[in-house]
Amino acid sequence: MPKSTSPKCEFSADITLEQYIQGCLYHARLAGRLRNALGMLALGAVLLTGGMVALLQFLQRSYAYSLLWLSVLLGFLGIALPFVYLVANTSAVRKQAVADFKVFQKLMQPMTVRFYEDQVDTVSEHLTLHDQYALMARCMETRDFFLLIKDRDRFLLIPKDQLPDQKRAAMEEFLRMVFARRYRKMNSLIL
Amino acid sequence: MELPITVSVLLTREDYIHYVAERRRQVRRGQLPLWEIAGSLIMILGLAGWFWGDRIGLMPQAAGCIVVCGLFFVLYRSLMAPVMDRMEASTVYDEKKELQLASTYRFGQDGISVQNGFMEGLLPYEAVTSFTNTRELIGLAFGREAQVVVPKKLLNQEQLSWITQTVSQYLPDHS
Repeated sequence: MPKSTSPKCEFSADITLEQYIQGCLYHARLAGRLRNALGMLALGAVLLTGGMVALLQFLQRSYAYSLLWLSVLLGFLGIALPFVYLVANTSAVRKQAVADFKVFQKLMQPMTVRFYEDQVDTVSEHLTLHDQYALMARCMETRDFFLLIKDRDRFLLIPKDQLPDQKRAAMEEFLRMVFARRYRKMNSLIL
Repeated sequence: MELPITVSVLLTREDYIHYVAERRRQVRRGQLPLWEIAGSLIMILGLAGWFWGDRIGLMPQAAGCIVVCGLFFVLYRSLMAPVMDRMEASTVYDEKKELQLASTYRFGQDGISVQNGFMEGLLPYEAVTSFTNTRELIGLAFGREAQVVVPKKLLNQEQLSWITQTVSQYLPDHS
């Protein structure tokens, strides 16, 4: 798709495996298998509270053993469900990311990223991708990178330190402004 | 066999749902039956509780709940997961705009040339991570970067055989 305007910013990006894994984890947190992490933690807290209430009832009342079993069950589920959800999914995302990185290296590295007013082009030896900001799902910023989430599978990782020095501040501001309500800053994988 | 094999594809929602469901089914087929094992154990515990639960103060109703919980685990992958896969695929089809655009694929000696409004270039066969071959379509995945889904009605038998053979040579062991 030839562009009549020149890009606002153009740079070469070289993504490392560790950066890619981080990108996959944050992508999973916002659009993939970790997206229910907060809900799962909240469910765990509710189940634990229920277990505590049942235990108190058991101790205060007639020592009905059903209440004791219920408190044990709720307490176990309250801890096990969020733990299994977070550990199993994080581990699965990491494992998948390592496999996906090999394909990413084959198809997309080294790549040149060109930001235009309305879309971003990613050009590699094999592929050229055109992604309009308006059709992207979200933009997420951490201390080290921007993550442009295209859909449930794909994302574009922009390490901040690879943006051209003289345009870095302007580009960061541009991305925050373009994605506006779809923009989110995250300090950790959970919040 | 005349190369390249050129097809222009506009995937329907039903095609995509079928592709995703079939692909997930193939993945599940290769997994250990952990859900079924866990469910069976829970059901055994529940049934034991049903008959001997009074010794530990477990009501029959609670034991029944445990059996139902186990039954859920046992039936999850065979009954519930396919339905959920189809529901998710339908949502994904709406989200992924490139699926709703016509794409031109050219199957050549080195790979598949792709052209649509979102992507153009060559997807080399060495980058294929999975190959799905169903009654109605073939699908190739290139990690999370790209997927090529072609309804079989667009290909003749000779073309289909060539694609299947060529892709099979490059498939990684785990797919």
